[in-house]
This record gives sequence, C-alpha cells and structure tokens, in this order.
Amino acid sequence: MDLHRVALLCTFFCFAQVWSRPTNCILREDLLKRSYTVIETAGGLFPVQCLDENVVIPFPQNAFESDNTDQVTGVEKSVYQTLENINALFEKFEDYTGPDQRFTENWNEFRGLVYRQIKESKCIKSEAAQDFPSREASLKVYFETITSTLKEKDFSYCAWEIVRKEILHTLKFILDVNSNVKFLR
Amino acid sequence: MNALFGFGVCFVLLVNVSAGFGDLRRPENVRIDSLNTRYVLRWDWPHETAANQTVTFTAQYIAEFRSRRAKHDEDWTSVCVNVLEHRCDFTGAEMMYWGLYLLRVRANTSRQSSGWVQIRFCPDKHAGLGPPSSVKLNTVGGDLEIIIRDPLSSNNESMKTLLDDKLSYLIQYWRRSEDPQAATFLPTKNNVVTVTKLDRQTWYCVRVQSCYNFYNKSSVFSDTHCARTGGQMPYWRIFLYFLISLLLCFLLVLLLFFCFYKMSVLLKNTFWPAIQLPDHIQELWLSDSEKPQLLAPESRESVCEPLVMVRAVLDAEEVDEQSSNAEDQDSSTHGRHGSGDSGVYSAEEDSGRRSTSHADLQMSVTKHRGELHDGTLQQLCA
Repeated sequence: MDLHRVALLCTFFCFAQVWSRPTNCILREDLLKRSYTVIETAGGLFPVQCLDENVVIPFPQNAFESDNTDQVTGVEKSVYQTLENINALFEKFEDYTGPDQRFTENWNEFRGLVYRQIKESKCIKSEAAQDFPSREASLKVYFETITSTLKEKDFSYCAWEIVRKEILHTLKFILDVNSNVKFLR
Repeated sequence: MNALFGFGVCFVLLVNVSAGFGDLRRPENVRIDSLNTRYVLRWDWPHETAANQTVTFTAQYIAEFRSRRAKHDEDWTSVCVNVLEHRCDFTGAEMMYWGLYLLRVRANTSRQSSGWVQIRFCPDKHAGLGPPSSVKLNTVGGDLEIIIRDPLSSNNESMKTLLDDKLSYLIQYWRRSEDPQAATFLPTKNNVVTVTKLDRQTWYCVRVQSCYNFYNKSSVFSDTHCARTGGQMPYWRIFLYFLISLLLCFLLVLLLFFCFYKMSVLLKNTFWPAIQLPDHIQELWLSDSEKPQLLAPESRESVCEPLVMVRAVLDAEEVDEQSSNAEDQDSSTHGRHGSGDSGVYSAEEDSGRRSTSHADLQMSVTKHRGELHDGTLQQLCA
C-alpha cells in the first residue's frame, strides 16, 4: 500500500512538476517591528562596561535608500538580504545564550522571527532589481565586519552586545526611513 | 532541475517507507486542536495490538530554525513521554506565538518504536481564535454602548498583546422582534463601541465575533445579549398608548355603570317593589292584631263549622203542586235548587219537624247563602 503511494507521488512530482506555491512575497512590517522590540528587550541599553570595546562599524545606508519608485524592489531585496545575513550569523555561532534566562528567551524568539520572515518572504530573492548588486555588496562588507569583530573579541559578552547594537540600528533604520518599502501592513 | 528535485523527494519517501517495514505502525491523522494559545496535539491509532503489548506515545517539538542543525534527538523537547492517551497538551511548552515549530509523535511498545509523524505548526497562522471573553451592553439615552473584552490567552492575558492592532471585532446587532438574518454588521477595532441611530424604547440584541484579518481567522460568535434603548418615546407611540388607555377607561366606566344600574334595580325591586299588597293584607304583615287571621293548615279543624244536613219531608200535595209549577220552569233551575240545596240540607232528622214546609226550607237556604256571600271566607266541611 505504501509503495503505491510512493509511486503516485513520484509520478506527481516528476511529470506534473507542481511545486508548492510561493508564500506571501511581501515583507511583513509587524514581524519586523516585533523583531526589533524583542531584541531591544533582550538586553536593554548598551552596557557601560563594553563602551571601551565598542567598535564603530560603517553602516551601509545606501543599501536601504531609494530615490524613486523603481528602486523599491532593490530596497526590499536589501531588507531580505539583511535578514538572511543575520540568520546566518546566528546559525554560525548559535552556541551563544546570553547572560541570563530572559536574554536567552528573547534571543531565541528573535531568531525564530528572523527565520520565519526568511521562510515566508523567500520569493523576494527571485525578483529582479538592477540596483541590487551594489546594495548587496555594501551589505556583504557590513556583515563581514560584524563577523570579524565577533571573532576578534572572542565571542565575548561585549562582542555580542556590539552585534545586538548594530542589528537594532539596522532594523530601526529600515522601519523609520523606508516608507517606500512595500510592507504588508 | 525540477525533475532532479522530484527524484530526490521520491528517494527520500522510499527510504522512509522502507524504514517503516517491520516496525510498529505510526500514528495517523496527526493534527492540532488550538484556541488562542492552547495547543493540543491529537492523533489516531486504529491499528490492532498484541494482547500482551501496551502501546504508548511520545510527543516532542522543536523550533524549526533549530531543526536544520539538530543532529540528535536531544535537541527536541519532549512534552509527553509514553502516554496512553491519543493527545498531548503543548500549552505549557511556551511556544512563541510567532515562531515556526515542528511537532512530532510516535508509538512505542516495550520492544519497538514506530517512525515519527511530524507536522509543522505556527500558532500565528494555524491556531484558532477565540471569541471575546465578555460582552456587556449599556444603554445611553437612545444609543447602545457595547463593551468588549479581548479574548484571553492561556496566561489570562489579552490576545491583543500578541496580535496587536490586527485583532478586530465584528459586531452583529438586530431588533429583538426581527429575524437575526436581518442583522446589521459593524466591524471595529475598539473595545467600547457606541451604536447610534437606533429606535428609541426598543429591544436590541447583540453578539460579537473576534477577527484576525491577516490570516482570515474568525472566532465563533459570543453569547447574545439584549438590552432596551432609552430615550424619549416616539410621539406616535405615546398617542397610541393614550388612545388605548382612553378606550380601556371608557369600557371600564361603562362596565361600572352597568353593574351599578343592575344593583340599583335589584335593590329597588327588593325593598321598594312596584306591586303593593292590598291594605288589609299589609296590615296583617305589619302588626299582630286580634283580627282573625288565616290559621295554619294544621289547625284546619277549628275552621270548619258543623254542617247540619236537614232532610225536609214535605206533604205530598205541596210537593205535587210545586212540581207542577216547576215543570214549566227551566230544568236547570230545579237542578240549581237541587245543587244549592244539596249543600244545605241538615243531616239531622227530627220526627217532629218532618212537616217543615218548603218555604221554611227555602228561607234557611237563602239565609245560608247570605252567610256564604258575607265576604268572610269560610270553609264548609260536608
């Protein structure tokens, strides 16, 4: 009986080639806002004891700006790319749990939100935007700098607080400045 | 590319199927019953088991973002271990409402275990939405104030903390005298809503439904609550009530008059009758006088007077003379005399008076008749 089912499914996949329809191809503003709130609540203000270790990382502002409506898709792809880079950062160094239980819970919730947004808005990657390569390059440099800072500071508490600070700044910039982004509100 | 993917899926399925051969059968129809933040995983086990074997079940979950790198089962969190029921409550697992999770369950016996049956669950997308926790009505003049309390999570917190401004309500209201099918629908995001432009002094019924429009979720309707609007009564209704009360008063007064009339007639006929009794009889009623009164029937004997029957023996000559004279007269007269005489003859006979003349006899009859016509009621007893 099970073999019959497998045979039918194989036929279905191979010849019909009907894949699951793409999920909602629009970024959700409420999920992005909640992501910001969760990671802000996780640790509060930047710790005083980490001020000496603070590193100024150049922010890729150009990746999220648009001069006209033709560049909106490029901005959306930049936002999606940012979320992917954040997720990759956590997957690479997922052993970090934070200083306390509350931090760990918020940190995990943030990771879950980012993962969900990546999963549900995956179709944005397939959209075409001529100005995206330059934006993608800026984002790549930004997150490579963040990764190298983490390694240099040996994945310490302050290193992760620097990462948290940068993520907060990036999300706030996206939410406040980019009214052109086609968020699903 | 797509074909390659299809073959890959088929291969994976084949592996899973082959792995299932010879093992314990897996649970079927795995699904989640959820309401707000209450999540219960349910499954069916329609398979037969050996008599000496007890089948138990183990249910686990993991955040999907962890599952990609989860190499060992330790990364999964067990919620129900070796339970006999076909359900497992994940409410206490504190799954984030916005996260993506994988839930899985398998059957176990003392000797073997079945394969896992896994489902994906996102409470934000898949959990059901409950109705408002309470709906109250207040009347403010001619308006209706509806107070809605948010549906509550398993921690008794408002669902609005999770759904933000995406939680809305659909108010349905209608006149109680009408069919609910003709109700008016009012969408709102507020918890206090005032419905205006309603009929005054009218009963309205209300029920409310929670809505989460992003995923087209809607709850069942709350219980129906009814209230009567206040405000000034419409003029036509005031006039109608006035007419009705006027009519009722008129009928009541009419009834009273009729009863009074009937009572008065009865009293009048009782104490002041129209037909009066004769004066001599009234006198009898009014006082106890020495005048002879009618006695009770028991004393009949005192009323009767002895009646003396006298048989008159006349001379033969006188009789013949009279009979010859009487033949020219009407026979009825003789009969009359006879009948009249029959009542007056005395029963006593006196030999000395046999020769009483007829004239004497007639005189006594006349006298007796006069007594009879005296006006005094006398009962003659024969």
